[in-house]
Amino acid sequence: MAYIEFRGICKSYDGVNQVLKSIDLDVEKGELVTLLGPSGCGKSTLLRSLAGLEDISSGQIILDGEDITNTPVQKRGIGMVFQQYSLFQNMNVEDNIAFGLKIAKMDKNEIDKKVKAAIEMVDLYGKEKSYPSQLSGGQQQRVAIARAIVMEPKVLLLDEPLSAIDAKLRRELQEKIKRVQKELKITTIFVTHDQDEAMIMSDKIHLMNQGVIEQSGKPVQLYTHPVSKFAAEFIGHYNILTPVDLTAFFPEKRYPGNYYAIRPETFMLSKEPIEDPAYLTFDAKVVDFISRGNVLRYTLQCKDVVFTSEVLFRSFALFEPGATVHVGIEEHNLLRLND
Amino acid sequence: MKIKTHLWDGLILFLVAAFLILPLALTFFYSVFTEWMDILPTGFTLSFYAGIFSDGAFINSLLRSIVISIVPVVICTIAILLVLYVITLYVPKLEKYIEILCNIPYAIQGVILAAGIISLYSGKPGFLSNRIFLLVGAYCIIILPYVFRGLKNMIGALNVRCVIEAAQVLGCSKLHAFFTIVIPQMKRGIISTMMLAFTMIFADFVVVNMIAGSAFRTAGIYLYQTMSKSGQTSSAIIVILFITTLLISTLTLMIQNKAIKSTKGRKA
Repeated sequence: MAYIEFRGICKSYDGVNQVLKSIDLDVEKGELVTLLGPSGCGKSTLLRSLAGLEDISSGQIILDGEDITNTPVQKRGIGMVFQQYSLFQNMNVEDNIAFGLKIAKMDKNEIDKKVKAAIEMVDLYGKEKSYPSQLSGGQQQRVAIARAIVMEPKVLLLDEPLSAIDAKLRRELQEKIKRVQKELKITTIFVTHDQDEAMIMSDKIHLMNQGVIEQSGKPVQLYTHPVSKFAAEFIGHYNILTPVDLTAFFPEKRYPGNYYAIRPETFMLSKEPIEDPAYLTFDAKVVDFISRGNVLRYTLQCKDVVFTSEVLFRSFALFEPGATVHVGIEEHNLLRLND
Repeated sequence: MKIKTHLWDGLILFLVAAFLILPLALTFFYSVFTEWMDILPTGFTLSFYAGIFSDGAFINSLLRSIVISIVPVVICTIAILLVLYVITLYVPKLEKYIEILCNIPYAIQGVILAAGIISLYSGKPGFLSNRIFLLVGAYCIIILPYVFRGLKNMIGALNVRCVIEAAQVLGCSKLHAFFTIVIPQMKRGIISTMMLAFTMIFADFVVVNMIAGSAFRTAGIYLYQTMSKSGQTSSAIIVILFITTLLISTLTLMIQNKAIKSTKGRKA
């Protein structure tokens, strides 16, 4: 029996359109799992259902062996961090963190001790008396995390907590959240639409699309073996090709099914013909290239098929637009998709 | 060029200040001189002020004005806050209907409202025909649009739903969260709105005269009755009422500044 069990969760706001379509999902104790998906796929609704902030139309939610489907939000023992921080502006950092403990009527000395520990854990020492408006976005989100973990919740829910924060700070906070999660061994569900963030943060990713779980697995597994066109497009910058497209590359071969996915970094580009028999080879023309920091992304064309390839940016562009390149790919990197 | 611009700015400011201050200054001067037959007044005296303050009826009327201005403002503010709590957290669909309802008094003249209330409630049994009760009710209706608009704008600027949800997850009830988290954040707006509503009622003469008349003699009624007896005395009353409003406004401003400091005014 898993620590958190979602059983046949359905949710509809208008009785017609289903936001969640019979979701079954297990989360093990101490895991950091991510609900990943585009806007409107139902990931936040599922998270809010677990928190008790959203009623479900049907189904059952079990937490630590107890059915909490109809338990009021206040009694679920869940901590939550929201995208908009949701700090109490009229209270300073200390009071924000202590709020839940005071509601629980905990002893004052105990509250002080716990608040101090939480502040240290999120590195906000010296900011105890500051008000939210005096803090940066990252600091505010750390207060929100401290406010949630100080309650020692059974589950910590993070609803796109880093989406309003700039890239550099986001990386720092990702590490911070991971460290705190590992230290406290707290079961955590993280919601994001950012696949890179999901890859960095998660023990396990559940990819959602249109109210269903499209694919679940470890980050590497999801990245290397997407099962559907949606998963391939969402998780990596896969080239999605039809069997006809592949025939343009390899005229002598025939491919069954509807779609194939090829990761851009699996293509080998060379000025010289590729002799290695492990590679299937063809020629393509360089249409354009862009630099994405340490990676060069080429747009290539073979007959009518346009595709992308990524190589590490070592010195300068290897190929100029208009040049013809030899392209090689190992056959196992042609991933056949289910749909 | 810059000096010329400054001169224009200064001139405009001076004209506006003169336009606002001159009537009050003249009223004040008129109240401290016995005669003003020529260009300059003659016979400086404070006797009109002394006369007013020695008249217990004026002090009572001033206190009545203050009380009758505060009570409807407090009732209306509490009522609107509770309505906003319900429509924000439970039935957002009702918001547009509440808004229409609260805007209706904008279109009703004070005289029509007072006449309507009297014809509807006079002769009714019990407290319904009590003039003070009717007056409080009438004032609540008059200030309703202003109070609703002020508080609605303030609550709209806060992410109330999200803040309440955060508090709920921490074990707090919605109502408790509303009063301990949302309302303190709205303190500035609440004070401004209440002050606006207060000054509207404090300056009223028409409604109180029609509904309560001499049965509830406010400062406005007292002033009206004095006007026919002595011009200087009524000028002194106007100055006193102005100073009273000024003192209340200053007090409100001080409370408001304190509220700002206790929330987000303590910038690092």
